[in-house]
Amino acid sequence: MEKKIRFKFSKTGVLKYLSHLDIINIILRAMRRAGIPAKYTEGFNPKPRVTFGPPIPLGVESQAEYADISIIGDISPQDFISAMNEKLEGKIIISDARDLPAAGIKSLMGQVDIAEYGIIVRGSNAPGKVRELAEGLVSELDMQDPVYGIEAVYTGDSPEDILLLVYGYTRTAKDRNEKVFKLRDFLQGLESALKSNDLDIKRVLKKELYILKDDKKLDPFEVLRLYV
Amino acid sequence: MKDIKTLSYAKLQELLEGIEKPGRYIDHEIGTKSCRLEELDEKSVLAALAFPDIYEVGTPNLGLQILYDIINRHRPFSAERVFAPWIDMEEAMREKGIGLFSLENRIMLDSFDLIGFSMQHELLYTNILNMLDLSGLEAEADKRSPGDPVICAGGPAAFNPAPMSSFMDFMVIGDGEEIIIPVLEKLSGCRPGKIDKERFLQDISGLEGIYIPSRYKYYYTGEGKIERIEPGSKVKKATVTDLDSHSIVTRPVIPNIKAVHDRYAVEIMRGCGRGCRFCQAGFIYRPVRSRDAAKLADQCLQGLSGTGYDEISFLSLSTSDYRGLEELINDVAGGAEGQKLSISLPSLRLDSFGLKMAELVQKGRKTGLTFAPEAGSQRMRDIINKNMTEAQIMEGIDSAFSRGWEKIKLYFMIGFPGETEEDIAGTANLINRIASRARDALPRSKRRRLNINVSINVFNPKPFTPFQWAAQEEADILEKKFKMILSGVPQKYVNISWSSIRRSRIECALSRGDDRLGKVIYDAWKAGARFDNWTDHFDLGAWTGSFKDNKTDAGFYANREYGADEILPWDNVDIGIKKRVFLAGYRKALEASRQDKAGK
Repeated sequence: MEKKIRFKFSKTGVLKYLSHLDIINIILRAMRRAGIPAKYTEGFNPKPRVTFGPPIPLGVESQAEYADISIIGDISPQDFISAMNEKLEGKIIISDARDLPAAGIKSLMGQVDIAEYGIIVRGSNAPGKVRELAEGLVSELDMQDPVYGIEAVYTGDSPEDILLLVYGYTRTAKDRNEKVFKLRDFLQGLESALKSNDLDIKRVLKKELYILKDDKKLDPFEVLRLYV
Repeated sequence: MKDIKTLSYAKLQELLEGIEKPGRYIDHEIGTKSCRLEELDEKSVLAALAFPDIYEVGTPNLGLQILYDIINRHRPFSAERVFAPWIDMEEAMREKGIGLFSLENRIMLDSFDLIGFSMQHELLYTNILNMLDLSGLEAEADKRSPGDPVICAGGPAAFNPAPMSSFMDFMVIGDGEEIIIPVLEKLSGCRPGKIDKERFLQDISGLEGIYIPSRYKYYYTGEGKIERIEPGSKVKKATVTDLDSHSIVTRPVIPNIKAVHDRYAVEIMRGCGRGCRFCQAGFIYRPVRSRDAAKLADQCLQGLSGTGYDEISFLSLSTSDYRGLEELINDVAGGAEGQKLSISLPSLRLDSFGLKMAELVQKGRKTGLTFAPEAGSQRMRDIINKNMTEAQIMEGIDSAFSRGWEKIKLYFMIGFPGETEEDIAGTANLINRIASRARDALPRSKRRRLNINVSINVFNPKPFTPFQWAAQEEADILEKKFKMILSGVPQKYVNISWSSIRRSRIECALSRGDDRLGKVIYDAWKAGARFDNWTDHFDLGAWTGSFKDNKTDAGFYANREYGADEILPWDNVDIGIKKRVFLAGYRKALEASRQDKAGK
């Protein structure tokens, strides 16, 4: 028998310095170590049937990477998580997994509309300054179209920190927007704007991916309910 | 905790800003085994295994993986790895004043007790100096302070220790696996407190394979040859008698980023009994030692399930000579059934047995074959003692291409002793004949897929070969020979690649050099030479300038035939083969060359 599993994993700390392709290879080797046989493509050069969500730039951490994989045999999502985490030795952590219906699921790349990034900004009176900055920045950087939303929230960790949540449209959402949110460009603009206000970017983290359904944001697991 | 300096994560992030392939400078690989920082104490002995090339090249290196594994299985010893930072990283480190650090715990190199460099070839020498300098250490041993780490080197290039001797406290000649732990035990015995380097060197001086440069003095004649080396005692290379007494590394470090070889590499046999007269590996790794095929197959399967690699490569100098090859392939392929495992077999001979083995591992998809005739004419193959006739070559080509292979890589060398233009024409002819035989053996529909890659290298006379005395041919003649081959082979189907002649000359001078070359290497590095093995970075000017400044010439070492009675720089190393045996081989080669000419 064969089945498909969607799983979510994190890529934090120094692992942010590894490319998308490197991470794919690390996960595929872990599957082989765990004895979870992937289903391979047919043809001359068989490759495991696995698809990943939209890649993030080198140097950005993520707690919301997703992949869909076809597996030969029957393994529950819970067993998949524990077997894989054992073999990944804490380097990459698989945080969640669900069964996928055998057919009818669009690929992650073809489905995800929005990526949410959390940017922690630090500096004296950061919360006050950032609130003002954020709105202006979107128009200033000509980010009106690719940005779905932006908000500033307290982290509670330090009075000097504020978390800027940025929701950017991915390539998939092109029919709604001409432009695609480019994190690099945004960070560049943000950095120079922050600099003149004596503020620094402390950390950038991809937090979640969303699919828009009737203007509601559903994460890649929530969206599966629509297929039941 | 031990008093050691480390690089903070914050500093690392700052350093890696805008750096190409930052994955080279982090750890978090599967298979790392070093002590954790908080486990280190006064008893710990910290060894840095330093590979003077970039991460992608160094990580898969088998010697590095073996030593790393052995040291880390012996607490309180702990080994960490460090590689040469690429040019952009070096610039950033120098600009920010950050020293070289290990991958695992980001320990600054000058906090280690011992730093061991792998010397795979001579074009890495300047990188070693650069890495010492980036560590905040003096490159030259006599300028280092008593509290500095002990610096050593090993690997094939160390068989001629003289050129790098001024930078090393000691060198390891031969197999490292049985030497490393006794050395670290001696180091640990020179504790507590600061290591007394002199006492330590005295303690290890009796161990097999240990060469201590400060104990030797080279004297030169007026014309620059070696008059004598004092003392006259020789260092015997270290040899592991029974390979099976050490399991292969079943949990190697798996590189996180794409490495030059992304596969599970397994040494099946060490040494080669063939005796090709140009081949240094064929002599320095003797005697031939094989692993037991049944035991090895078990270890391979363990390693495959422990690493998750989907490719395994059986390494040796002459894989066809490994007795249990078929059994090994069947056991490993059978044990990994249904797991899409591919097996690669470098260094196969292209005879019926080799083809059968190649077919066994390349079921269905035939990726390519590699084949090394080395020389085109029978006369030249006799001179170099490459035991292979043209009939055998053609038979191999016929059967390979009629069995479905479409791609082949051929290796040749030019500039062998006694080589004439006729021999070069012979090489071009052989390539031509191979191309047409291969085309004829292929079905008409597949002919356009025929692909013959030819790699042509310059002959480098190497220490510990019968050709160690021979002169490397002058650059202009070599160039002419290259052109002859280029114009003599068909454009269709054949691609030719070649090594740089000028770089080969420097490599050759370094490999046959004496202890005066230390200064030349140092000055070339000061003038900017590093990554000399990278075509884009090789700086010939830095080298020629340095040779000139030191009133010597690369030609004295590369393009001169050394006299049979001359004292050779590596005469104080004993590999277990007598100099007269090599000399007999050299004379036989020259004889073969003369006889054949006379016979025409």
